[in-house]
Amino acid sequence: MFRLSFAGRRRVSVDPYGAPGSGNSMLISAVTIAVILFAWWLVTYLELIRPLFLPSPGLVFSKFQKIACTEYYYDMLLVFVGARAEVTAECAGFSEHTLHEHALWSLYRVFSSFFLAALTAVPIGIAMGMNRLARGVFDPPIEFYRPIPPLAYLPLTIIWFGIGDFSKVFLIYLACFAPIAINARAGVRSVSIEQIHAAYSMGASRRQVVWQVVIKAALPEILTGMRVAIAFGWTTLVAAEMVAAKAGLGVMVLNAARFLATDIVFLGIVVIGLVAFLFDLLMRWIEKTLVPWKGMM
Amino acid sequence: MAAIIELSNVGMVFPSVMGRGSVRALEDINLEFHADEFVVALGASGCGKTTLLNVIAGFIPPTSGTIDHKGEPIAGPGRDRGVVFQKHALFPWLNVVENTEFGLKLQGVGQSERRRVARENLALVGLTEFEQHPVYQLSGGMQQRVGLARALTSNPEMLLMDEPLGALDAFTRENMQELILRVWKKTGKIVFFITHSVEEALFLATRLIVMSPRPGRITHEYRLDFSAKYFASGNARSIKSDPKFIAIREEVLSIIYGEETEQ
Repeated sequence: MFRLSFAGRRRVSVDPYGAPGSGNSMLISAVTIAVILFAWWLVTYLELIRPLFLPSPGLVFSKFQKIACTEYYYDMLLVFVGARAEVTAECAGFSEHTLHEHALWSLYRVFSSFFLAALTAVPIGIAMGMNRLARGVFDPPIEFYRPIPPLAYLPLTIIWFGIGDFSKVFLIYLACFAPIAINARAGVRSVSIEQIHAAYSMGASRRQVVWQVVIKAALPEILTGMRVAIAFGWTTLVAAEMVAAKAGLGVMVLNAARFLATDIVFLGIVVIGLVAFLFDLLMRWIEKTLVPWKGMM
Repeated sequence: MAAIIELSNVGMVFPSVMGRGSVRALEDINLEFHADEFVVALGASGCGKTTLLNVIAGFIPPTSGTIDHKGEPIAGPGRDRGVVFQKHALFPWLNVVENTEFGLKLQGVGQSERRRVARENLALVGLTEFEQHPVYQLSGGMQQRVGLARALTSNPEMLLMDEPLGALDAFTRENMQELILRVWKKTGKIVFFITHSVEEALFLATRLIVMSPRPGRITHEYRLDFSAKYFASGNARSIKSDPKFIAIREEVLSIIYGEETEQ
């Protein structure tokens, strides 16, 4: 099957009357990424666009080396193994922090918000799915704030909670909360009446039906909600770090933009994108491991 | 012989929805279930078969009449009445044996004891080798066998089966009919079985009730012994093609078609 998809032979569709869009697209995605990188390099190499607007891949990479202090840490490694007497390379970073410090601050903000959201939104979403009162109470506020861009209520969180980390975490928390709650609620609805009836006729109490049937059946959608939420968290990060943050990938991008350091802006975007993508892969793996039956029954 | 389950004058009226008139799903149902009986309810769609099963299972209380289990009124679902559904009733987060032992786990039976009972019932339905399989990878027929083993594991007095073979292909269906008869014979459960296949109904039932819709009521009742003949001969096809079988089949079909054309 794999062989058939290669060029050089008559183009044969493996399954001409199958479901549209089936088959593995990994190779195609790899080619797309390579083409984008090559086009980026080519355009900057031919100096078609000024570096102020589009820095070359090499420039961005050298900024990465500088801000991540790769030489400094390499020196430290050499000193550690005894190959050199002292560290000579300097470590400047950007905005007084190295790249990994920025990244760790952002990770801390996004993940503490995400875990707080998961901890609160899952029970609330399940309650909304199973209880008329909870649904009536929580539905209006969630549906009201959900479509509002975080930038719009950012000033309010600062007025209420100050410029400390709490208001930043709170902003990202709100972004993560709605998708988890809404998916958990929908997940509860995905349990079949037959499953519930089967449990009752085997002598289950209401409590056992909730814990051993409804919540288990809701798990695939709860995980989908979490996957969406973590992506929303990264989307909200830059907004959250706009005011009075000392370190963070968002701060790094915003400060760099102020100095028209386009290369650092690029670096920040690439790092945020890569980290978010890696966590999405992790979530997909968790989904496959925890709920392999998703979409199968 | 005293009835184990007894329905007296059971009626079920669903209230009107969106201005349409209320639906009399069941009217004046009188039905008794005795030990060792295999009762099959047959009828066209909408005749109240499933409502009747849901009422006996205790999932919905009837709007009139009483249902007694050995003289005690039935208040809700319970372990004495196991249910096998047409589909969507297994728990995909559990494997075959975990699904089967679910009822015992709810009761707090220890792991080794509930495994032992679950394995006995899996053996009964011929799934011993599949006990560690995820249920969502099984074929439709095998999933129904897990559903049957699961219902048996709680050791109910009665098995309620709501079109359990309705979603299966013809070959699997005939094999499953024989399997269900063997399980019934071996375990001695009372079975209440719903189907809209006349042949299936005649083959399985010791007592057949034919229902008609709007309002759902029992119009005909037959006592049958084709399953006994099957146990004697072991050849299902020869029984289903026997002239006596065919004669009753046509008679029942004409009853059902007769009702259809009246409307």
